[in-house]
Amino acid sequence: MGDRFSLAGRVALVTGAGRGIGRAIAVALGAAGAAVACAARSRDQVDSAAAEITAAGGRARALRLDVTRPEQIAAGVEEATAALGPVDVLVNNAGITLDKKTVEVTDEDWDAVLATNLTAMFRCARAVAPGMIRLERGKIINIGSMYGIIGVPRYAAYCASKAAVDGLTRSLAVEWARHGIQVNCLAPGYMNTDIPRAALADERTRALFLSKIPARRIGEPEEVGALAVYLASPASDFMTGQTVYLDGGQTMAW
Amino acid sequence: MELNLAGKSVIVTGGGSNIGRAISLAFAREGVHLTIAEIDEGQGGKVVAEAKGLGAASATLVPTDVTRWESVQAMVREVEARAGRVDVLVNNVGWTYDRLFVEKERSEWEREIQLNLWGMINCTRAVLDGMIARKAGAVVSMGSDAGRMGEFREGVYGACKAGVIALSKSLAREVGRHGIRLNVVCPGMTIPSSEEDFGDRSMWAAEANRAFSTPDMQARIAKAYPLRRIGKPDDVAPAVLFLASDAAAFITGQTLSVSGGYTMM
Repeated sequence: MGDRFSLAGRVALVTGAGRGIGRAIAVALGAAGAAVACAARSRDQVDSAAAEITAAGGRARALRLDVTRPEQIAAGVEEATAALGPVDVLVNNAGITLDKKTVEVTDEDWDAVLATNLTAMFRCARAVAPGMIRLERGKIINIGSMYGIIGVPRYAAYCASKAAVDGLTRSLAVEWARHGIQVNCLAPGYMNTDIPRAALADERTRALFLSKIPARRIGEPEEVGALAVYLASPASDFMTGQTVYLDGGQTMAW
Repeated sequence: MELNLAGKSVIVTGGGSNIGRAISLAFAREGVHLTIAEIDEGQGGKVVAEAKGLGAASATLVPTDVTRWESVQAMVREVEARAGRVDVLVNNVGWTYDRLFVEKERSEWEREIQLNLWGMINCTRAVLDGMIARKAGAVVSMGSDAGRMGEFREGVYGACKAGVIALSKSLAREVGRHGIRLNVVCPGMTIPSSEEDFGDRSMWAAEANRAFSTPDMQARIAKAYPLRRIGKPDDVAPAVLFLASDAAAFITGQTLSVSGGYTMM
């Protein structure tokens, strides 16, 4: 079974790979054998992510990429392909959050969240799909969120953008199924990354959060990495259009 | 990616035929202590022999009728005595007969409820005490897209599978605090590729279900799936292994359709 979870010979492009969940995914894909293009805005962060993969014996390329700039997406896919080979795994991970009373959310706030969390995802998928169609093989993993299915105050733009990721996922899954491309959504709950970690530092907040999670803990970024490997590997070849929640059971949508 | 399943004690119910067989053999390749809980001793014995050849740390057939609580209790006691514990239970036994609701005999509904729902309730109940005591365990149950979306000629079967999904979620809430996870995998229609791959007690031996095996019917069915083919038992086995493993330690109460895009929700 191990070989069906192997990514040997695959080339992955991971957006938002500089830190947090994206970085954990990039590292996990690299450890599973993929050559990984680590893309993010910060040169230091992508260099460090790529270095972590190569230090572990993998192949990686650091890619400076702002997903809200269409011309950078095209150039990024070109650079990844030139350096590592045709991209057959895309992890659409780059995202931003916005925690603000909705009456105070400006048009610019709203547009920024949708631009990064939704529009950029579409553009990255559109940019890699022709290559995948030529290969007759591909995996697209869109990073959604538990917030795409539950209501959270002060997160209207974020919740809306993540719910939209589910819709994008299903449509692409059906449209590109005939080309051997599987498109799935990986939806994390609370993870041990910078933002939740800060919120959970307060003991009472922590107790309240954990009481809502059947597993009684928050997740680790490495656990997102393991699920991403499954979704990127031949082990999931008959699965498409699905949203998989990695949230310790906090949401159990039908 | 290593799933680190070697040495785990794994029970697969209905592990002798079709999907159950593929799941059993996939676990065998990972080096687990495999128990096949199976009512068809001949078919179960064949898969036990195959499992040993593929690298199972051990493989044992325990003749079991999952619809009978005493039989299930005895099976789990035997595994706990022999292997020391149950790390993973795969509720795979399933049965249906392709026929419209209004044309089905009540006895067929009752058989479906017994095998698809009571079997899962019995086996899950029987392993939970040990898992709670050890504060660890994973239960993966086979659901069906019929249980999520409904399906022609699969009314009561779909109701049972909806029950499997709901019970898994409820228990995931109840026992999550003990480190126990329950998840469901929904395959699409998965037709055996060979007569060797199922026994006389399998649903695929039933006359009404044999109609699915004609090339013409299979070509028609494949068109209903976005990935344009019918599922094979090996399509779902990796999903079961992943959910059973520590790689999925933060995933519980989830339902995964591994069905070629047939159901997306």
